[in-house]
Amino acid sequence: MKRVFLMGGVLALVATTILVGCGRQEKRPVQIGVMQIVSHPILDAVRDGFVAGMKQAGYVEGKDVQYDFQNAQGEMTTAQAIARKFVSDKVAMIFSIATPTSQAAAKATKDIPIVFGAVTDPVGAGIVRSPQRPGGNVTGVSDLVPVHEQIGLLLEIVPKVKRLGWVYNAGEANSQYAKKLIEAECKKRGLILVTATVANSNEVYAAAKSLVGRVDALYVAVDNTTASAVESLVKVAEDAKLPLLASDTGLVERGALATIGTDYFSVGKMSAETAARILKGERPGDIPVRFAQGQDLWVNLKSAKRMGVTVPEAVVKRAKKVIR
Amino acid sequence: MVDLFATSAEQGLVLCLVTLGIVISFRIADFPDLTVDGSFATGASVAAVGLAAGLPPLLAVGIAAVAGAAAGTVTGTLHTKLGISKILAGILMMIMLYSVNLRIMGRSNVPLLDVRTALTPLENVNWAHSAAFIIAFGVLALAARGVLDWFFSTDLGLALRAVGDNEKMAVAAGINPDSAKILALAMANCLVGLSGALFAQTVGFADVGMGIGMIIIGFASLLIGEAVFGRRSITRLTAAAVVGTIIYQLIVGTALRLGLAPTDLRLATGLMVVAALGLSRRAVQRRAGAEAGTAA
Amino acid sequence: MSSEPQADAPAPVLRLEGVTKRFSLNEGEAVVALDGIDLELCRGDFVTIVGSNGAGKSTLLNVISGAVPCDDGQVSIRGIDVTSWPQHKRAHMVAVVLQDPKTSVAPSLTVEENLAVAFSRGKRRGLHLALTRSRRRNLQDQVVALAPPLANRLRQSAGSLSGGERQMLAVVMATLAGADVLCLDEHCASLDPLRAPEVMAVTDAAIHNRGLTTLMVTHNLELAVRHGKRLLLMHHGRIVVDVQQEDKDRLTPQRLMDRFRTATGGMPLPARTVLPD
Repeated sequence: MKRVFLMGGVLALVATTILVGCGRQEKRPVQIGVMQIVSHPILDAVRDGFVAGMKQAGYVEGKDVQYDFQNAQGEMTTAQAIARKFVSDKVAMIFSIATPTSQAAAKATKDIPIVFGAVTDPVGAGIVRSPQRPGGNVTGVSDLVPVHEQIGLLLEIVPKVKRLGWVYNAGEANSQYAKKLIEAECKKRGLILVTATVANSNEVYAAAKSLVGRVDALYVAVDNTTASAVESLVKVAEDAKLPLLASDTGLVERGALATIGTDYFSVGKMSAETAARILKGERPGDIPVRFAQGQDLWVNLKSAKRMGVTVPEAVVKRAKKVIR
Repeated sequence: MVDLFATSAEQGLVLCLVTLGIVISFRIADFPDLTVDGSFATGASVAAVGLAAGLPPLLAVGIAAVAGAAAGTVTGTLHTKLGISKILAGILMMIMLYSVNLRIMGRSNVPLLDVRTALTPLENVNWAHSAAFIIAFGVLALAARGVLDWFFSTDLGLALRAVGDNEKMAVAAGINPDSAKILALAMANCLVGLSGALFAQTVGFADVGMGIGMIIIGFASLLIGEAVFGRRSITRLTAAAVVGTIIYQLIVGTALRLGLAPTDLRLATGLMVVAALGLSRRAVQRRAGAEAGTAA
Repeated sequence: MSSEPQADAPAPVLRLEGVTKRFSLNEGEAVVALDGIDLELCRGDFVTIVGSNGAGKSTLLNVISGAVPCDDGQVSIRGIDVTSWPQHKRAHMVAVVLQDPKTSVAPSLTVEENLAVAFSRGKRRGLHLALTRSRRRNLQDQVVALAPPLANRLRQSAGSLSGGERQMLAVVMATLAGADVLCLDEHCASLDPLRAPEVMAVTDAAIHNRGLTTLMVTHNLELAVRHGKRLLLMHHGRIVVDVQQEDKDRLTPQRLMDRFRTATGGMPLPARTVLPD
């Protein structure tokens, strides 16, 4: 008995030494290039979620993984330059946040695995062949907005809404895509959609004001431009006593009324899960695009009060998070 | 219709400070200053950070105006001391300020909703908010205009005008051209920074890209105003700045309501500027012809 | 243009010592515009300067006013070394009137405003109103005394004045605030023959009024001979002939031409030189 124990102990020791020795040799941190198109609360959240998700998967920054964070400052040419830089640096993987950066990355390399976070329509953007089988070196997490659930929530809170107002930037690809979804949903429910377009965040305030008197509720959804100016929408909504429905939880935190939303931090974490799978050997083309689940019901009772809205108890009870 | 006018007046009165700044740099000092896009956002950033930190609103706005003045001073110094051309100096500052503004805010966007701003007392007024804002901003705009009209009739102001009009003659009269240009740019960008600070409080947030396109908006506003008032005197220029900005906002608001895509707005504004420049050129030629006829 | 003869010369108002200025041309060649100029002027002197093109006449005035810095040598005014001073710093000592009426005044400012700017030369410019009623009256008086044609054009923009009127205004402006030295750089050369004498009359009045020490560059030999107590002939950056008062009184344009030819070894005066009929 004792002998078996001794043998086992020695074997274990030897095995551990070998493993540790091998491990140490392979223990060079993985290089991941992280690129985002612009500084922006939502995109920043995706990035932070990714880092946190990677840490959870066992990739600690500095030890197991080295990130190269790059920001294109809103310029497409810079995005392309960043993508090419990652390629020449021979990074192990590229994590691209939002559509324009993902397109730049996909164009720059067909070999290096690319994981995208927060691309609303990856097929339309031309970076994957189909959501189930992306096919190439690109896969990731889509933030397709659960418009159906969100408008449903709005009508649950304020049943009398007949006209919905939506401010968006027609220059954003994801907004053009979302417009179709929102129009279809409104048509299904017999709502009238009134839109106002803007070209930059400065114009959101005036655009929102122009909808007052022509709508029963406001919607802030998908559009990056309006998202960075959500405070303007909140101001106008509170002033005109209109409910402001949002498409993600971060916006509710900043003053919108409610959402069944995508938490962009989770989008980042989900992307990290996909990334970890690729680092462990799976091929990106085989991993289906994942869709951020719209399940988090958030409601902001402070805003509700200011907007003159009474939120039904049932909704408050169901809510994942209630801001008072 | 009324709220279109109200919103235009409100925004116009806040942004007319930018146009007044452009009057100082472009018209009076003969310095095409492109710093504006940067210093507008600097004013917004500084004010936002100050307000979020709990500073008394007027102090935060004051510091923002000073920050704008500092930006203008740097532009002026780049030109006078380093010999960088006027336009290039402005462009360089505009680009550099983007990074500076990001640093100031620590992020790209600072919300100003639940923060005490200079506008909070106005927002708490029970009756028509718009009217309160219009009155307050109107008083501010008229005060700014009054200060400028007075300043440019003083010895110092006249010296600035001389440098912009005929630098050789001004130097021969003992005026330091470098100091004059720097002072003019500091004043102009002080107004622009102030405008940015107030604008951010109006729309509820400060964003690092807030100033982009401001120079075009300001310039177009000025040209429209000059089409109404002409530019023969300082008082006419300042009136043109205030009124022109409001008219510009009205035109834009109406056009958007009628279906103009905001993404086409820049093109439309550019065309407006071209048309206004063409009209004013014809007017100058007509006047020159008349003067040639009457001169001895 | 008579004045008392100078007894033992008091300290010179203007002194140039070894003043040299070189300009580099595009091909790397250097042109010597001023070649070691030595010059002294006493208070009340009126010197006319003539010479061929490129002789350095304008450069000489520019170096004195500070519009152009010199490469070597020293410029002193009233005993103060102003060689390194920029123009605006010595503007209270040196007043200038330039040749081109288009750039001698500020066209967008009114006549009054131009005068107000000139009036403050040498004074600290603060937040005092530039055109108070008392100042307006003061300026009006000056204009009426020196340049009557401008008297009722004070509120008009300087740009609406004719060339001659602008030069008149420029002369009044240059002499308004007093100066140690007045530099006139062919200031009547661009005017038509009817206007030039008017402007010259205003100039004489202003100089006489304040007893200004004056340097006048001109291509008009008649003017050069008739005005001033001293005449300098410049050629290739040097002063080649210096005619003092006594000799000058006997000078005629023809004799001047002869002296010039002798001094320059036969070079003719340039085509622009104005000779009397």
